[in-house]
Amino acid sequence: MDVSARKRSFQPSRSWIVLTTGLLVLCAAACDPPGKPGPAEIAPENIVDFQTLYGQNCAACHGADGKNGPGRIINDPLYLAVLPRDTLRQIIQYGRPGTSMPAWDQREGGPLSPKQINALVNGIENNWAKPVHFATAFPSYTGQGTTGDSGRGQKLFLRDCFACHGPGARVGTVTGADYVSLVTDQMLRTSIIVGRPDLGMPDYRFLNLGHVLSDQDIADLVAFLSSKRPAGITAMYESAQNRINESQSGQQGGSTGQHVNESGSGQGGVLTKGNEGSGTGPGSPRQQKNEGNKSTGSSSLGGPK
Amino acid sequence: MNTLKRIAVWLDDRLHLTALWASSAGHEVPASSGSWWYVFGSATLLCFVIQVISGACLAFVYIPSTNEAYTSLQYLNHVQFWGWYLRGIHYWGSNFMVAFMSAHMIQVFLFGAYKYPRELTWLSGLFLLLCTLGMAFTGQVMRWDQDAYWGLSIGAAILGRIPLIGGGLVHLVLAGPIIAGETLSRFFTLHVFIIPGLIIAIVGMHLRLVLAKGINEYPRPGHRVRRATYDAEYAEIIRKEGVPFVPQAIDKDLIFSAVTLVLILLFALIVGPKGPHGEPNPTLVDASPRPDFYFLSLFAALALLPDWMETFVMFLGPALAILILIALPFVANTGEKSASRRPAAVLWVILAVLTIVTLAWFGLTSPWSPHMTAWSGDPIPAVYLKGRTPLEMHGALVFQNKQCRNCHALGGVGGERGPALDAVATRLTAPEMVRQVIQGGGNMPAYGKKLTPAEVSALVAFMQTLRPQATPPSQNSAPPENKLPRDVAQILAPTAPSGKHRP
Ligand code: HEC
Ligand code: HEC
Ligand code: HEC
Repeated sequence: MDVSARKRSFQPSRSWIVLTTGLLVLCAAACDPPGKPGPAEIAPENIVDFQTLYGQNCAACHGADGKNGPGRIINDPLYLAVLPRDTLRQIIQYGRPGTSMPAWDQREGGPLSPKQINALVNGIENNWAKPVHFATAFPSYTGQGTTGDSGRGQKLFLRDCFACHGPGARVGTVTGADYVSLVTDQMLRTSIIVGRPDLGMPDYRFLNLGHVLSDQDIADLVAFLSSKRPAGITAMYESAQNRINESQSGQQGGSTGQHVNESGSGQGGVLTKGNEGSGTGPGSPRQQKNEGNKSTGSSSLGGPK
Repeated sequence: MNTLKRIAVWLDDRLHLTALWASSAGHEVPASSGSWWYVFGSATLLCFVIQVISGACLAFVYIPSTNEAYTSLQYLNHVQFWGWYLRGIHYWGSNFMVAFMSAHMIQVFLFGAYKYPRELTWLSGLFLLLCTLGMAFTGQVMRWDQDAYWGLSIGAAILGRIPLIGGGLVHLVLAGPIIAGETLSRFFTLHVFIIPGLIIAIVGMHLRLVLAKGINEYPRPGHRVRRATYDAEYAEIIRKEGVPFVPQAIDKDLIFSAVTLVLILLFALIVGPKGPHGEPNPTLVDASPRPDFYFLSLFAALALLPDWMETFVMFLGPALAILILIALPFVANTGEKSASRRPAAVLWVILAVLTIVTLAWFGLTSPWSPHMTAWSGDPIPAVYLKGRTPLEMHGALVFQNKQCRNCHALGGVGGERGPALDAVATRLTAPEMVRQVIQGGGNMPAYGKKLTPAEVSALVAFMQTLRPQATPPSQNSAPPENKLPRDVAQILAPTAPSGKHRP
């Protein structure tokens, strides 16, 4: 075999090598091989995206979009108009001890940092709160200061709720001891004020066939339902809530928040959550901090610590 | 030219390179050993070399501190040019090393190569296997992520089971009572200095023994090893059909090593490195951590076996296996080498491989750790809430809050540790459900004291609705007007039935 022949036979293979190497280098530079790791996962404690936070921590109980879950509807303008922002934060932080609503704050043994709880509160308010226009002021969230009369509540229950919640009625009873033992009075109150718009329970404005339920009516109804609960459990819920209120006022210092007039302010107007624009209402409801503060009156008087 | 040659001769005169070459690469081996069966050892060695090189490169960037280990791996993955590829090579190199080492060991076992006079070759190989597993284990700790943390805690638990010295050993290995920064330093030292040093030393001894005692000839059925005659027989084989290892017998090793190299590079390219999966945080037992594959079987065994067998499997099992392997060359020192005359040996291999592979498969596929976020993140399917009573709805809340969902799926979502409960009402009556929840059973914890009576009734009420096309019970009842008097009486009852509900 002469040299030139060998040379000729070599040429194509060399260009082959050059071509493949070139392609490989190009490929390496241009395309991402499948083995290349994707973007780094965000550590769970650094997530502050509302949808993610809500989806991972709340969706199971309060529904994928804040409604249609087994737990209280949150994605509801009326509810968010009634619920003061600070109270929302407090509920998330401390949960409702004794119920199926756990505490979420790390300091309470939960998984979320204060930053994440803020993100949740803001996300809930920004995404789901809308101005609600109604002729009279909303009932206060806690109804603190109004004492319910369970005898009257019983009559109201027969009048307003029985069609749906009487035994054998369409929805099912809410007067069974088992059910009432599982929820706090606040939860009952919230349910009466807001209803379950996602599931077909009207809110307090429509329960009495067009007559708005007064604060007193609501308190009476709650007192009636509450009387179905063994007294020990009610006491447990109350003392837990008191503990939360105390540690809150200890943390944030003092009950300087303005009390919303409990007995129905009677003022007409627009009450919206964070009502920067309207300014006509009595102002956003503030958190009630001095429930049961008799024992620790001093702590709730102190300024910010 | 002449000067070069003189330098070469001078060097050879001082270093005896030609002699070294003749006695190592050039030594004569039985022609029958140039078989495809004999390639796994050299492939393992190649993997080790790859590990040393890629590991050294990684060490340029890796910072062995709890604060920075994770970040430096993230840096390699995302910032360093092709740093992820380096990690991929190191990861897959270790996988292949363990795999080929196992293949090598099986081959040696089946070919009776551990018998007289190669007992020490087998033993040194066994120690190499242990060292390699040690490298694999310490290596996955280097990742310092959830998986690492988890693997480490189980490893520590295994040690802790050893009677008497268990506690002290755990302290020694973790450099303290718990996993902490010192633990990482300790494992780093083990991973990059101590164990690799040991491996290099033992590999030297292993190869020296291979040269000194010769490579096992391809076994012939019916040809028994006898201590008195074997050495002479082997010398005869070498004399008759001996060929120099290089270049005659090495070709298959080279080809297989090349294939190995390409495979590692390809796997690193296509599958990539593992993790790191989330910074380790003992309070966040998120995700479902899984160990690297070589420990999957052990971990799966732990998860699948009942508690009382755990101590055995965790500690006695491995210890016994190692003892048997150490004793093997001395107990079965002579006799048949060929696998075709040793059915029991073949059975043992099949049994061991099957056990390990099935367990690993279980470990890979079976949901043996609960879904830690299902309870708060997986919504109850809407159909299971439609038309339910408030009590049943609240049962669903208890179901989530007590983390039943972490083990039980609904609508295909949720943990899979326990059975899906979509149709549980067709299987269990209410009292049976109560018993299951209160007493637990199988792999389900007993909830007894952790549930109030009201929670139990809500749970059971909810679960009783879980049947295909369930009809809400209240719909079957007559309209309220008809039974008003009795119902009114019931509803007006002043307090709840006493006794059953304690706070
Ligand atoms: C038009 C029918 C209707 C009327 C009237 C009605 N409810 Fe409801 N109620 C519902 C529906 C629907 C639900 C949600 C279904 C469920 O929780 O199972 C509900 C749920 C509730 C809940 C449970 C909320 C929860 O999330 O656990 C309470 C408490 C409640 N209602 C109290 C009352 C009271 C008190 C009245 C009378 C003031 C009343 N309801 C009147 C339909 C009604
Ligand atoms: C395991 C189920 C569960 C999860 C998860 C859960 N909740 Fe709740 N939540 C409940 C229950 C049950 C209640 C009612 C407690 C009561 O009886 O007062 C509740 C009550 C609430 C309330 C007050 C309702 C009222 O009475 O006004 C808010 C607000 C709330 N949850 C927000 C959240 C947010 C935000 C998250 C996610 C961080 C969350 N919940 C996660 C079960 C849950
Ligand atoms: C750690 C995981 C785990 C948790 C948490 C768990 N379970 Fe289970 N569950 C199981 C396993 C595993 C079985 C199967 C037991 C067996 O085989 O005997 C089971 C069985 C059951 C069964 C019987 C299913 C059937 O078809 O026979 C019911 C009902 C049940 N669990 C309900 C619950 C409830 C309610 C909760 C929450 C209070 C819960 N489980 C929490 C693992 C779990």
